[in-house]
Amino acid sequence: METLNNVLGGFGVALTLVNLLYCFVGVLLGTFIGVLPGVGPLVTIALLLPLTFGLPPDGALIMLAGIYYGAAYGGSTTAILVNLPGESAAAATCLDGYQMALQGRAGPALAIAAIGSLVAGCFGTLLIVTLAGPLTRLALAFGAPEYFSLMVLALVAASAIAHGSMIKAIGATLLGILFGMVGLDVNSGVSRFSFGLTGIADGIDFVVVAMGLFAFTEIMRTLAERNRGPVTTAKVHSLMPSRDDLRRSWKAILRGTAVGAFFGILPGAGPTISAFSAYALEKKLSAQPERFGRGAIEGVAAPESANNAAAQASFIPTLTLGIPGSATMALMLGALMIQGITPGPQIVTEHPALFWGLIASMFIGNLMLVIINLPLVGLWVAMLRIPYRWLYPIVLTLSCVGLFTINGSTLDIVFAAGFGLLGYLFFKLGCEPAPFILGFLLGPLLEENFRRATLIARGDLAVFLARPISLAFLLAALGFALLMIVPSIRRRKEQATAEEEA
Amino acid sequence: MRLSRDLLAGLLFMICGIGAALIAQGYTIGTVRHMGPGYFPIIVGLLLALIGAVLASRGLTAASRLEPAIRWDVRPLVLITAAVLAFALLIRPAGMIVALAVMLGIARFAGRNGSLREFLVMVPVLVVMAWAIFVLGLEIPLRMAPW
Repeated sequence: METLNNVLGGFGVALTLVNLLYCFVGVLLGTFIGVLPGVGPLVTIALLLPLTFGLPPDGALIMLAGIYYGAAYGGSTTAILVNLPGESAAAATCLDGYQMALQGRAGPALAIAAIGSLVAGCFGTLLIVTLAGPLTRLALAFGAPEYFSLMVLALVAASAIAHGSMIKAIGATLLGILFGMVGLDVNSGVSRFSFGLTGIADGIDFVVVAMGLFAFTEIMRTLAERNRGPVTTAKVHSLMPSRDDLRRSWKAILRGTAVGAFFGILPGAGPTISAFSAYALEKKLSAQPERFGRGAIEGVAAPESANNAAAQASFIPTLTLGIPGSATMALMLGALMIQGITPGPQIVTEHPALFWGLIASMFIGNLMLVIINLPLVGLWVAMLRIPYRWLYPIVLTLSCVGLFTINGSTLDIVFAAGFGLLGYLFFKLGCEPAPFILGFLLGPLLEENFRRATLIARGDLAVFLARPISLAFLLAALGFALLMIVPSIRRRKEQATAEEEA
Repeated sequence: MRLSRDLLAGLLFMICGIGAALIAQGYTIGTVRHMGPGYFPIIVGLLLALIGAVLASRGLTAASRLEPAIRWDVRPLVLITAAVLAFALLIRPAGMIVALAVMLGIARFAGRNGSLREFLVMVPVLVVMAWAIFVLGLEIPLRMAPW
């Protein structure tokens, strides 16, 4: 009952004209960048972080969230029509979606993708609604040892599931933690690792890291890539899926949603892994697996539902526990911190309007997406022709000016350039940047909780193992790490990541 | 000896880890019960160095040496970094218009197939865009011109 009240209150916040506008701008922008190859939700959100300083917190978050799940829609449109996934999660949709388009069935493919995404999005949002109360109550009962162990679990899981070698990811995480410790130590007032530079005496700004690692690095990488082939667009005839299509798809949609929700909550996994896993699952369960890769509609329904469900579900640990599972979620938390809101379970209790307003806006946003996308398909395809040499100057302009407006500090810009180089180095060395930013964000919290835990336990380090929940988290973290070492699972993961990159 | 990715990554981690631990050693360490500012950084630094060592030794194995050589795409790397640094150097003394123009001018060479005419159109468009978003929209005072 209380939840229902909260949700209705949330709609009250989300349905104001201003917030509807933010939602609309968010999903429109999200779809747009989902379509454009070379600019993804991560870059966009990083670029918008300086801008959120001037926006009200609920509006800013609604817009950023809209960009995130909106990009999932946009990516699928081009995946189906042009065999170009606008973002990596849509790559699974290309496999059968483009085949369907070549067979003249682009319309039903797009329609099923939209329907699947809507169902999954709503389910994901419902999941947040149901889990919010119990999870936050649980989390508020956590003490410092539990928090520490939970963060360790999140970081290890994120490293284990990330692309590439787990050891490198853990290294990146630790490096991120070290960078997170630059600046003022709250307990002692000592300024650490600042080398006399007053600009970073109180820490490196989150936006600086985000901009460097995700905007600048991305530009360097994209410019270095070889050219893509010619863009051939399939024609879209009628949009109506046949009854046969619907009959085949509904189970795929439900299964995809379940897979997506599961992976979304898991730190480290995200829409991309969800989409590919859902596709693989559907193919395995199918009575006619040979149809996959040749235009099977389940091959569109499953990944599309999965990636939307995952996008929604990834908000759950971020908002309720304050633990981001991916780089994008870390940026969302960063946006919250910019607004002066400390992430953690207390968000639900201290800022209920923000939390429930955001959730209500997700329902609205998912609906808006279906309405916007289907008529505007032709427009999105035309957007694909925008050459990258026009896009990256826009990104550079927005990021440099944006960085300068945060603190008026040119040192910030220099550091961001440095992080751009670091990000490029990571990429060339086979390291994922996401664990780095997770470490950067969670590092200070990790230290804080470790300190508090040992203080309360009077120096007894066994406290982390003595308390059952904390022990459970640590064992789970160990489990993840060991699982990745087991050769068969490692091979499966490498297969999955190889498929994504193909 | 071929520098494989694992070896380089391992060396990077080792340098950063040991470096951090050495610096942190200068801060008060304290005890487990009363952790000083140096405690956690030393632990993290040493862990990082350990991981780096494991990685580096993996990088010395035969399998790693069979990897293809790393291709460093120097042009976008150097030009984009130079462009951003140019902006940082110019924004205060010369104002936003000059800073953006120079930055975009440098960045232009990082891409391909851009005509001069496109560039000459792009610069004012982007300057106006930046002005509209930041100065007009967010009401942030930014010096536009050098005088």
